[in-house]
Amino acid sequence: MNKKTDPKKIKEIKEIKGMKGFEDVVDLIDPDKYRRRLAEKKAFNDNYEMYTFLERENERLALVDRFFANQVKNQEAYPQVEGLITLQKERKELLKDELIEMLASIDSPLNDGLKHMFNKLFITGKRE
Amino acid sequence: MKLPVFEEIETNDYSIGQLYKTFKKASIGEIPSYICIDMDNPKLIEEALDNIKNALDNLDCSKHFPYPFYVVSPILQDYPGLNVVDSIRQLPKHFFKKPKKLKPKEQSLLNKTAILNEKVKNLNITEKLEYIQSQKENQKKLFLLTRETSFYERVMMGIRDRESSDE
Repeated sequence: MNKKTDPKKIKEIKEIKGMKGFEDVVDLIDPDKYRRRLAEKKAFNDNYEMYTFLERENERLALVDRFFANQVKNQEAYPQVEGLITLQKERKELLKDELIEMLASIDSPLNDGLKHMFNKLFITGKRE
Repeated sequence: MKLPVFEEIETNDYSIGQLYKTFKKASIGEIPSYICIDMDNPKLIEEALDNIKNALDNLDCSKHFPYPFYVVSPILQDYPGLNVVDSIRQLPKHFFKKPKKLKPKEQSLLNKTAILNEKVKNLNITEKLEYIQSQKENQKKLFLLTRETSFYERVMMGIRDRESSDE
């Protein structure tokens, strides 16, 4: 029997991953050659995988180093948060005063809205 | 330096002394590692986690940098101070790689990794993380204040735009 059409070989090929859907042409394939090609492809891709992993790892460590050695260190040496909180508190008070002044005037949008709501809620004039 | 891929730390004894010795031997912090706790009793698991945390503190080892340390426990996952997950599949995939013989270019990258690793280890990470924690409250306060002032500014801008469009 021809090696390529041997039922045992066909069964072997069918069991190889990735051969689903190729049952009709399975007798044209040499399983050993296919397996060798798969192994070579995997070896080729593996090389880049480790190299990429180590490159990414180095980038990660460099970022961690920069964060703790520079950024956190600067923050510790020159803290700005307290000063910014004081500034923001002052600004908030000024804005609140300005806003209240704007909204308290007779023709302000707030008073217009309240006037509109009041007129809708209470019926003016007598019902017949 | 060993390749920075996940290594399981195996132990049956969760006493603090034994854990300290095991962790020191396993060079925790120099490579990503995890320990599986196979116990059923939540009380025993909590005791084991306390001992693990104390052993790591005694070694002055950060649980996050330069490499993380995880505890795998299907039963108890909520434990402050340790990274606890319920299965190995939840560990970061980045550190799961098949160790193999390295080519010269890969070896030189690994040498650079070793240098950066030492640099990060010398930074006293635990102190820095405590500092970041201490700044949390102030940063939150600042965020809430800026959000409030931004809201007032938007309201005023809206009123002014409406007034200018009415004109």
